[in-house]
Amino acid sequence: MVYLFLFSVILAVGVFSTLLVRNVQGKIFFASLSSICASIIIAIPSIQALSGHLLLITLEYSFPFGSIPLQIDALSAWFILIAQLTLACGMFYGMFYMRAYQTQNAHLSLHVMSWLILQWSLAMASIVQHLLSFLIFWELITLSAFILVIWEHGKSNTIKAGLNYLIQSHISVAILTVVFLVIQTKTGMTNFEGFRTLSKTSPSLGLTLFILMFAAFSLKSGFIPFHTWLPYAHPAAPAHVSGVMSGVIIKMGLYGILRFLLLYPGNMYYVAWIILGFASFTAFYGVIHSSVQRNLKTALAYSSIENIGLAGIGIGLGALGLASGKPFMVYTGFGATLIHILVHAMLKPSLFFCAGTIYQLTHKLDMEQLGGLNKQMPRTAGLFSLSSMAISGLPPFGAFITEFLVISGLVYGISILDFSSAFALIFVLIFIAFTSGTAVMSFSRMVSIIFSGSSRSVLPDKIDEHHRFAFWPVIPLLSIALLVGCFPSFIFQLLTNSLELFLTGLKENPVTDFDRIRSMLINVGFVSCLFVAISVLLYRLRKRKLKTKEINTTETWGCAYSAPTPRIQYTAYSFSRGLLTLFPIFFKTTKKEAGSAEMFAPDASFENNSNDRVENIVIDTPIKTLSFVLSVFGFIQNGKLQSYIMYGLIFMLIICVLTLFGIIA
Amino acid sequence: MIAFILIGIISLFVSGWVIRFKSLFSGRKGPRIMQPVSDYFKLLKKGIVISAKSGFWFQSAPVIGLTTLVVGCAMIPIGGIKPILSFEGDFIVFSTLLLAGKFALLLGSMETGSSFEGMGVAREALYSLLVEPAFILLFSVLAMVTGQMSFAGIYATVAQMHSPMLAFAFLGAIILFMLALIENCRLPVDDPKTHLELTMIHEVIILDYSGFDLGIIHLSGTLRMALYGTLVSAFFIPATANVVSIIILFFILQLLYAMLIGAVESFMARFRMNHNPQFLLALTSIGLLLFFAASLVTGKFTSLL
Repeated sequence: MVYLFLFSVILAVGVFSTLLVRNVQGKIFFASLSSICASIIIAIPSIQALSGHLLLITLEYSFPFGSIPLQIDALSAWFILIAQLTLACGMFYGMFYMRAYQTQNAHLSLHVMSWLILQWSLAMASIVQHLLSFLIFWELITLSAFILVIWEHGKSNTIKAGLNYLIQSHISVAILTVVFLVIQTKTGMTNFEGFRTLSKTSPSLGLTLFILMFAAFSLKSGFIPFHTWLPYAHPAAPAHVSGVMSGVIIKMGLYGILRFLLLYPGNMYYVAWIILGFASFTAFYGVIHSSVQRNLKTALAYSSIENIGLAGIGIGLGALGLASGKPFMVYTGFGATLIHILVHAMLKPSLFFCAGTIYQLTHKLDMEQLGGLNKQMPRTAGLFSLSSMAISGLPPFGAFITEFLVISGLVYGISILDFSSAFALIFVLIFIAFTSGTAVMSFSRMVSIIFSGSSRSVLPDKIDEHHRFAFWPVIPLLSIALLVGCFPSFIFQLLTNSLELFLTGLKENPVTDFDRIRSMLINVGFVSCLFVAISVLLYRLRKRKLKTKEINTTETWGCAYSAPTPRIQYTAYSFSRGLLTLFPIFFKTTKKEAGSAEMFAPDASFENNSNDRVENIVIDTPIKTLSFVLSVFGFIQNGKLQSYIMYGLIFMLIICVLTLFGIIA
Repeated sequence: MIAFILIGIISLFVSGWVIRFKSLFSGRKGPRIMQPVSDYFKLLKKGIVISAKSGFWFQSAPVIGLTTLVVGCAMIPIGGIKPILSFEGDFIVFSTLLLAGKFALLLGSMETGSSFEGMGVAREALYSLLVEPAFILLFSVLAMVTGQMSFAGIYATVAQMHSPMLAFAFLGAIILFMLALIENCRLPVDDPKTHLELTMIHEVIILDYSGFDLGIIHLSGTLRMALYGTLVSAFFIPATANVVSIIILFFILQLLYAMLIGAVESFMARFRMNHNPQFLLALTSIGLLLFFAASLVTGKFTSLL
């Protein structure tokens, strides 16, 4: 109790000091101090909860709130710890990123205050088990994130993106409000246990409510077709906000799904297949779109969608394990999800921070205009390429562990389950394998086009990346991802209590499966460590061997082409064109070709844009149709006072006539 | 340990065998068996010429690729000889490890800023992403049929020389052989002899490498060929044989594998470039068919009827 109180108080002090301190440096100092202290304070009960000591307090109130249970169990502890660490790194990176804006005092105050409120509401949303307070904190997350996103509010694109995010998050809040109202009125209970009670008494209603909640949480997380705000919000936001949004805020949707999955007592079968279906398609769709984007941050946003899909596949697999009573699938599924939440929260912010550095130093985010940055920004290049290798699910990093666990669980399920389940799981397996390969293509494209070769347009001459906060925050994030990859059994051991929450009601003995997975992970970690060790050893041997030999440096071999220019380098569009032509139905491509038809025409130009087909179907087309239908009635609003008075008269006339004929009483 | 050494020994011969068979099929005598490998060892004695634009990934990609193959070699069983590393789910680690080596190579070649290498990297990235599902699907189906989840377990059960396991062994060997053709950059997907910029895939990725690095890359190539040859041959080496007969059978099967590759390279034309993704997706479809066959064999269909 003390911890929660101190946590809230310290953050409140931070917020007030931001308001009261005049000097920008002082503001940032007090805010960062309060943020770090608050993180440490809330980490203590979280670590205790992870090791099994549940923290449960109930705040007793009378009507209208009811009593509010505050609970830090192993599940919420995992989310709290990840969020605090990512927010801390994000804050340090933000201090570098916002250097250019230090004169905007009032604006910065609002930004910093929103950051602290975000930190508070993220933790509190994981802690409260009360329906109304959860909604309040959910809304606070949305609002503070909205204010953080629209930092560059002078640009209309930023405002549009922010409003898109705000509207879709409010749809999510609306759905949750409806569901919670149903729970509260039907059972009279004001906390999450009401959902369990309601599902026990009327299972079909419980399933409907769960599906609605899944839709609401998917709007926050970014499952297809609820993802349309993500590719706009991430490029519009400043880099530290994009990183934190992608790393932490999106995960709160997954937290909601997991929390209500824990409380759902009914048959998990339908739930599992719904989640698996949405998640597999999300992973596939996200990664193919990530491979064709021009804007670096949009590509990273779609990659976040892919990773959320992967985590969702883990949830679906675990739910299927619960439905069929197989603890192996439960452990691999939920274990994969929780590990992926950790790893993605480490890697995606590091990618976004490097992207932010690129933007700050070159003022360009379009891949087709960048290039050759590895000589001018070697540290950013190295960190970005290592993070790309990590997030593509390659050993020795941590995202590979997620894929290993999910594929192992799927293979186990295919062997054990009946034909129809196995057949569906085969498709999920194909989706995952395809996704991991496409992620390799997407990120190798990003790294090669931006950092390799020479620059494709004029870049600033002096690019200085030496500010320490530009890359210091990335190093702990990347190191944790490497540690998870090399010592996965340790992380899996940390999740013991979290996974145990899911095992209620299983009949088979889960201990042997846990040990089986642990021994698999020990071997996987051993292979990763071996990979790193032998690579380093062979690299050293190569260096020593080459010391005695000749090393010449020349131009790139041009195959007798004697006048190479930067413009003949491979472009980002060409890199992924093969993928684009394989799956044309998922893209809405627009091509613009112009210029005269002669050879080497000086005014020839070609532009290709691949847009989101799902967004076109779900958002653009309905809005266009609705606008068209409504525009037919546009003549009613003609701005003339006489018409409006006439409408009032017509209305009164209609009421009189209807009353006369007795139709209205 | 013995399996590891055997694969290493075979890697010295297998590229020479393939070139010899190709020459024999076209009516020539061909170079001696150890000629390619001795060329590669000669390369290892030289220095390197690197592009001014290249950086860390260019210089470390050959080494990382070799590491992934060496660790991969430690995972494959031959008959009853257990590999150094064997655990449940190792086939997942194997395929992703090889993909990691390829990722490093892709990044390394793009660093040179050459448009030829860009072409090759784009194509290679597309084909690797289509190969992943085929490999994982094949071994998942085999895991379903055998009830085992490691290479050692799967091969020990599938290599029994009686039906229905023999059928699965043949089908698995065929799919793996086609995967071997793709991964080793052989016809009908990629021609190692073409050297025309518009038609190279793997050859153009290693275009800018020279001397020591090129030697490492070529030696990794021979190791990869031997590795895939082992994956194909191990389907037909039963686990009950004794060590000497395993070694003899292994040599004969690798020779047959090299002969088949030589035959395919000599008697088939290369596919048109944009038919290659179709060919790769076809492998995944064959894997799906294999799943149906496996369901029939393991009795999964009876729950439906």
